[in-house]
Amino acid sequence: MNWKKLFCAAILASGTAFAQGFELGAVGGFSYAPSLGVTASLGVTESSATASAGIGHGGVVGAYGGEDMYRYIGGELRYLYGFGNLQASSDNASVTFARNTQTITFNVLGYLRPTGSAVRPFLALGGGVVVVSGTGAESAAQPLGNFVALTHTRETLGVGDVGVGLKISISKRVRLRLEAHDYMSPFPDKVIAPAPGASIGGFMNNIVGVASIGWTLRGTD
Amino acid sequence: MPLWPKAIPCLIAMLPAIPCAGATFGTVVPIRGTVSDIALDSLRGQVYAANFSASRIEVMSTYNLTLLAPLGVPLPPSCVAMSPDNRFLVVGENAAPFAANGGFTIFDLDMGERQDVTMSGSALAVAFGAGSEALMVTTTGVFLVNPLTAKTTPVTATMPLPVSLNLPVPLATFPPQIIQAAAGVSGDGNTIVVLATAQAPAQGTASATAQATSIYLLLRYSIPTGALGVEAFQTSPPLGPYAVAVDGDATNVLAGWGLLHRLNQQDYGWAEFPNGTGAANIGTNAWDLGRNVIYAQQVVNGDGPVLHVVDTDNLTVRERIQLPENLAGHSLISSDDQTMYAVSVSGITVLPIGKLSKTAQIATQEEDLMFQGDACSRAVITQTLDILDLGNAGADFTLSVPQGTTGVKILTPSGVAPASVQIQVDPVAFQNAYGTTTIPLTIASSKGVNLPFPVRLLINTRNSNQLGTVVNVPGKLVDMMADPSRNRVYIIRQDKNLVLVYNSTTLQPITSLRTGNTPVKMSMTTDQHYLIVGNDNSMIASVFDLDALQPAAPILFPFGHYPRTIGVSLTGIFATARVVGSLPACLQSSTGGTSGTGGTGGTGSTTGTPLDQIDFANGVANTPCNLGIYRNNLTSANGALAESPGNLSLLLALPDGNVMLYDYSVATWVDSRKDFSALGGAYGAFSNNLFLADINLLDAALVPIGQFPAATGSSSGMGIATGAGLRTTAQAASGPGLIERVDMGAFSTYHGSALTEAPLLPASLPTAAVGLIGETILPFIRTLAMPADQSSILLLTVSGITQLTPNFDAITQIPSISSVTNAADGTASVAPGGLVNIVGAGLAPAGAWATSLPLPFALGDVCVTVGSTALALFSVSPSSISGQLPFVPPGAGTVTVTGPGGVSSGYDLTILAQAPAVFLNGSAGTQTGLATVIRDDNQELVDFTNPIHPNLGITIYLTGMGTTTPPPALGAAAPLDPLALVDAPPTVTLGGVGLAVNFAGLTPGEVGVYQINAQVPANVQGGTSVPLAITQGGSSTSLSVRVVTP
Repeated sequence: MNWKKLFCAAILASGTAFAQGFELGAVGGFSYAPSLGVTASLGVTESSATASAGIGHGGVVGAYGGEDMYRYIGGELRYLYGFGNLQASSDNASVTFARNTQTITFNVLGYLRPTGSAVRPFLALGGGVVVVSGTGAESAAQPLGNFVALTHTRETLGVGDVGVGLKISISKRVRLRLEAHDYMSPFPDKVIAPAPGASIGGFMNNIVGVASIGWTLRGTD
Repeated sequence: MPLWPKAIPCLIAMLPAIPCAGATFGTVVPIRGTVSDIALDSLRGQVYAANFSASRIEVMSTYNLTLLAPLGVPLPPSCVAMSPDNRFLVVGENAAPFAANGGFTIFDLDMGERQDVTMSGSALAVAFGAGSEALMVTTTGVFLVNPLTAKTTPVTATMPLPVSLNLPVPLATFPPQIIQAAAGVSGDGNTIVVLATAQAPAQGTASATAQATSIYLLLRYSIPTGALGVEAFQTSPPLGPYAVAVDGDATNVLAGWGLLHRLNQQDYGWAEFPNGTGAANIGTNAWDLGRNVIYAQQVVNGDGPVLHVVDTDNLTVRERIQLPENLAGHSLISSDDQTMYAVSVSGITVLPIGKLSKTAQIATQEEDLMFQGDACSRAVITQTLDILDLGNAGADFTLSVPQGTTGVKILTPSGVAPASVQIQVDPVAFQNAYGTTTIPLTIASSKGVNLPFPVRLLINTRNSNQLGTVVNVPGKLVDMMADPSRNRVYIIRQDKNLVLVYNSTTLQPITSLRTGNTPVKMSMTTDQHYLIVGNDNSMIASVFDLDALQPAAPILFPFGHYPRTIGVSLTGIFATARVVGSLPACLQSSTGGTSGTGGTGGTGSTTGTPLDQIDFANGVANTPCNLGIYRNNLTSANGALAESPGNLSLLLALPDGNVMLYDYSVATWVDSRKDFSALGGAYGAFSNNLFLADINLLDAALVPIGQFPAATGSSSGMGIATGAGLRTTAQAASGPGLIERVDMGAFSTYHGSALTEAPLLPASLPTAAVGLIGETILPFIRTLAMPADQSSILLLTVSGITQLTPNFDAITQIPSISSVTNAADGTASVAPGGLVNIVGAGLAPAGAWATSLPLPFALGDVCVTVGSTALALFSVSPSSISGQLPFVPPGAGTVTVTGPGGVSSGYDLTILAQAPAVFLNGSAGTQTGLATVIRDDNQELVDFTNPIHPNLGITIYLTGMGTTTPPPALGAAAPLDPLALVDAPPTVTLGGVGLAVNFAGLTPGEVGVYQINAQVPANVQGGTSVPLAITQGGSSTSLSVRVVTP
């Protein structure tokens, strides 16, 4: 699946929501993914060394479409395009490598206030897929190559999404949303490939803070 | 050109050693009679030739070289001169047979008038300078002749009168032999110089021999001041030919064979033509002010009519030009510098010197060609000789080696220049020499007018135990010394009158310094600022400022003293010299040494061979009347002086066995002994108390205390290295030579080691004389030098300089091989033409690396063979050797290493037809040992961070892929066009998926390195460790790479 197909799928999903008279919005924000520790063996007689690697921070843009199916529960399909640099670092070296991410998730939104409220805090819970792509130029002399190789390739991973936010009605049809999500996925070990003898453990958390502007075709109040 | 003059050189050529070639330079205009002098009328385009025997003036047109109507004169015309305004022709005349009076005739060419004047005696020389009056030298005096009035005015000078032969003369006596005088004029016209012969003055103490020797007069008449200076001197041989060439301001005058330099109102013998016989009637001199060269011919035994083009400062021969006939007296050069007119044996020879540079001439780019074989390879060696067409006139050439020479093949022995000629030498023909055989390669041309200098073919067939790296230095090298405070070594190149300055570490030339003529030996002042060089054909010692590497004021020696060797002590600088002429009065004493008891000296001779002492501060040398208690009259001029360390004493060794010692502390000569019947070869001081003369060790009193074995050959060099003495010997010039340590306590030698080639020996240096190129080889020679940093030992050897490591005699073990692997992945699989590493012990005495392609077959005194075929070598060290396997047939093979320590045991291995192996010597960042697989898109090595992707091109570098088409020569760079393709195409797979191979062959410009260019398909599978396999023939190799998809 490439980027273009993903985008079409998002539009179709939004169209479904719209057809039921629901909300369509645009998203922009910032992401931050804490690096994970990398442990590499330095040889038979030496102790191991550590570094850290991850997809780093960057910007995100995207879109969503959804519907409040009940007074306190809604659902939405969300697409986010993230951009930034893969990164790896140790005490005395670091390396970055251009990357992008594309994330599609379906979330169930649980509101703390019913439909029609001017301000509606909500919790989001969902999942989907993320495609992590290394887009930088590879080099034989890439620093920290004994820990990881930041690779020009693409990797698709499952992702879980937990979020919290506020939906604020600005007018009858316009909604402002402020929200934060934690996209949890396996570590992209093809794009950030641990070197032979090195290991990276744990899930990757990509924390995204976004603001959204949404439109509803049919007002809820 | 008439036919008969051309026949002369070829008739002469029937004699051995006399050049014969078809082309000569110049045109002869025959004149019926004998020409005594010529004058040029540039206004009318005419040359006036005094026809002495026909008593008339021949007139030759310079436009068409035809003779016009002659001018009659009443008496035999001995000399002619043209006034500067081209109006008056003054003809000096000899007295008629049995008559006492000669005269002169003045032709007013503008008015068509003539005046005949009679005078007592015969006119000998006449010349106009820039003034209006001619200077005429006669047997009765010197006069100024006013051409307008025909009035003569005597020029007062106290001088012996010039002489000439009275007529009639015996048959076959020619004008220069009769007249015995010649005139020349400086370029500025202010000075007229006349060379004439005077009768010997009565000298009561002179011997009969001295009385028979001519006295020559050199007259300098200054036109601005009217002053006439006269110097009288004797020469041996006679100062012929009678021709005077003068430079622009008369500072330098070439009279006969002697170049005199004017300094402080005196003439000094700056340089002389060597080898001349001094014949009066053959030869000439002319000073080409525009080109700053001298054209000269002298009679040289064995030489034909050859014009020498020489330098004006020291008479170094630049070129030798073949003449149609011998020149015979006065020459002059036209004002436009285009034409030289010379009296010649049959009339006038016209030489278009302005066209000489465009006239067919042959030369070679290389003076020497070295063919260095080694113990492992006796394969034919090919070198290229570049033939130059100096005149750009399409001159032909013919190359030849002496008849009977075997083992030398000239692939293109004749052709048209410019050309590059390959010369092949088969070392097998010379392999028993174990040294350097020198073969002269002669270059001849039927169209070329010059006589090219022969090229030396230097063929070395060293054995593995022969030490030293030879650096070629062309020319006749006669002395060498290292600079004790600078990283330099100085070498005298005698044939070009140069001191060559080399970097003593790199042996790269730094510069060259021009000496006097025929430099012999040199020494250095105690402050190490100046180099002093003795010249055997100059009455000066050349001095060079070593800080500036520039010439300094020379040391002026007494007239007739030619310094040869120089000895510098802390309290005196002495020089041996060839002395011609009389000794100072104190040395002529017949009583010296005869009074008292037991005196045997005192010959009473006016001649001898004294030692001169140099006053360096004042730039002069003088002849002391005694050397301490000893008479200053050496038994030979062929001795040599040497300093002890610190310049504390001087050793003087003479070829008849005499030795003398100078002690700086008492500033005199303190010892003189004769314990040997003959001495020669090496000489010098190991210390202030231990001296060497030939093979004899002498103590501080010069008493013999030891003798080295003579069985190793003639002694050549000696020196001190790291506290121990050294000496070199050789049996023959073409042999190996030997260097030994000297135990200065036990007076014995040890650790003798054979040399790559022989050090120079006095006996091997002399060669047949070549024209006017000097050669003075003393019986003593100095061929060993230790540079200031003591980093090497330098020897003067047959081909130039041989460089040895100071620990040349370090114990060398027999080489032993522990493994032979391919140089790529270190496995035992090897193939013909592949690169290999040999690991072992004692493989080489020290590290050495090839510095150019093709690779040598011997390196650092080491060579390697598989079977009987040598490997081409990249590097050698005591523990490893890297090289290229020869293209031998696959199968079992045995590798042996041959070095100074001997020959290793054979190492058996199997040579496969193909044994592909990828190099594992790549590096990226901090990574090393990477396989040399390159991604074509970013030209970087494939590694974990630079993985292979589908659809990429990759290039794999490897060795061991076997034979190719075309096959390159072993050790040579692979060709670019056409590319060398492997004969057995490989297959390449990545994770089992085949790659398209676009090219498999040798990498252009590399030796033994192959490459495969392949394309990764789209369907390759990814992985961290994917096998990249190369299979060729029955062999394969594999390595793991990371593949990332997509």
